[in-house]
Amino acid sequence: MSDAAMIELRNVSRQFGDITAVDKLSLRIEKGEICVFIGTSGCGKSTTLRLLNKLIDCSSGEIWVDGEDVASLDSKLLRRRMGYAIQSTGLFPHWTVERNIGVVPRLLGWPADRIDARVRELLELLSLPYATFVHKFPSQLSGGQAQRVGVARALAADPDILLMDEPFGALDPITREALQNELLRIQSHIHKTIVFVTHDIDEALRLATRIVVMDKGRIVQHDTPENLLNNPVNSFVEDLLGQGERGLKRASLERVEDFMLPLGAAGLPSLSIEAGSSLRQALSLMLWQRADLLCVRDQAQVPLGILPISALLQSKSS
Amino acid sequence: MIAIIKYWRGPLFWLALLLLAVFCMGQFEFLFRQLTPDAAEVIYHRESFAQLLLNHLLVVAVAACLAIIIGVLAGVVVTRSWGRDFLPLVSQVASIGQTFPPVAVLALSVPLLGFGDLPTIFALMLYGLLPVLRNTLAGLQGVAGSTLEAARGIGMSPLQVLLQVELALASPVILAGIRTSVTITIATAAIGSTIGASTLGNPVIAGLVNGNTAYVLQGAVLIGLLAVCVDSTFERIQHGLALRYGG
Ligand SMILES: Nc1ncnc2c1ncn2[C@@H]1O[C@H](COP(=O)(O)OP(=O)(O)OP(=O)(O)O)[C@@H](O)[C@H]1O
Ligand SMILES: [Mg+2]
Repeated sequence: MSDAAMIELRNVSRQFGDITAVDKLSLRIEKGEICVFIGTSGCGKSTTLRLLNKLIDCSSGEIWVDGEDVASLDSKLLRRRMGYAIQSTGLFPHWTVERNIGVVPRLLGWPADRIDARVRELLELLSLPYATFVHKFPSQLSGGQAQRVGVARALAADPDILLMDEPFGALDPITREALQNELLRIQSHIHKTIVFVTHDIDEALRLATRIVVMDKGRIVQHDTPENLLNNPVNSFVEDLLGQGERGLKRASLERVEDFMLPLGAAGLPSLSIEAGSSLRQALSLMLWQRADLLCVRDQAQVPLGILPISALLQSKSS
Repeated sequence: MIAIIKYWRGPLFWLALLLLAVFCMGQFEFLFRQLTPDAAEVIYHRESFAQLLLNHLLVVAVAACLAIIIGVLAGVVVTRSWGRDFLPLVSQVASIGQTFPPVAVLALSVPLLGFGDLPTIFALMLYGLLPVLRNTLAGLQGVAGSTLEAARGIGMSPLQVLLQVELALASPVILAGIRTSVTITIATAAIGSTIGASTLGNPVIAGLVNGNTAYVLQGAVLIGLLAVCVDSTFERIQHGLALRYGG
């Protein structure tokens, strides 16, 4: 057993009849990572996720979770240690939001007051006002609210690992982005190991510490978002990244503060941008305002530096 | 308390009418006299109505309980991964059985079990089984795949998935099947009188044999009131269930 990997797949395959859904997959996912699976429909992403929590068994190969071979673990107990959120939410329609979120803690035998406190905490974490939502049934929620509740349910028993299969699918772009931001915010507090499946390359680039590109049950490339953009291994990955937009996609991963120049003696430019914004936002502002120079400020509006358009063309400082 | 009475006022009303009919049938002798002026007796006296009602209820209760237990169990078994092989067979039997007239089932069970309550219970049980089984299958198969995946995925045991998710979600449909089954059983139990079971069918049969329309009417009214009373009770239970699951 190699050290530190939270999840490790060794030569894992799964057949359904003649179809090989997952084909000799080997992969290490480190503790605290957000590992995002992406690929065409039917390439085996969901199957891989279901192999991890033993909803289906491997045809061959081994899966190790936190130093243990999952084949030797009781599947119920394994699953209770892994949060599971799916696109269709799978909320229990006959239970209130409260009962849905509390289901795993209840299975684990937590006392009622601890479950109640946890439900309150999670609703707050996911920006769902407690009093409004706690007694609602899933049929009374909007799609975005239901997906939040689904995520809350996955987080409820504070599992080390979260499995998320297109948890923000079928949402409008604004709600989707809000939920992505929430996930990143939550992750910065709780440091789970997250395995996340998506169809959306922008979502993958945004959330992932590393991305797994899959095709026909195999891994095509396993890399950080930056490396994926800079060195796609083949045309499949290039197509996935959307050829014409690659520059912009990379720019959306880069932050203004890494590219700005020191404040000069000359006066401050009239247009400003926040240091934490992406280069893509900076470029967009320049294009829109037809300006070639921006003032970089921190959140308190204190000027930190300047960003001339030529600075966007430099390779990353630091 | 008042709220409870208000909620159950439908069944309570029919129950009151039923009890009135059982214990005060004699008060209406003048009415029945109009129907059969020539008959020596107009009110059925061979057994008391209360006794017939009790026995009728007993026969129905035993048959319905057996039908519910067997129907739900069979429905559960054939929807498990290990029992799925029997699903086509069982659902076929369920639908064919429904086309079988109850009298035929009754007639067929006499050679097996003789006369009396037992063959009646057996026939009623067989006949009442089908709606329960059919609705159990429909209810369990109606549970969304994603709900089941989530239930397993968060770590429920198979028994927990069955009890807390599948049966809970299917319960309105199953209950509708039970309602149909019990109502059919109450009506059909009357035919049991032809093979020697003592039920509310007794006055009906006696009336038919002796050409006494008053007897027939008394039996029919009692059976009808009992059926409506039980049916409206189920209606209230279903209503309550629907409210609880937040429409
Ligand atoms: N239970 C199953 N029985 C038979 N075949 C299956 C089963 N589950 C998945 N498959 C097949 O395995 C392949 C991979 O399916 P999988 O659901 O993992 O794809 P996916 O990458 O999640 O696709 P999508 O992006 O559309 O969700 C598909 O060809 C699918 O038809
Ligand atoms: Mg999928």
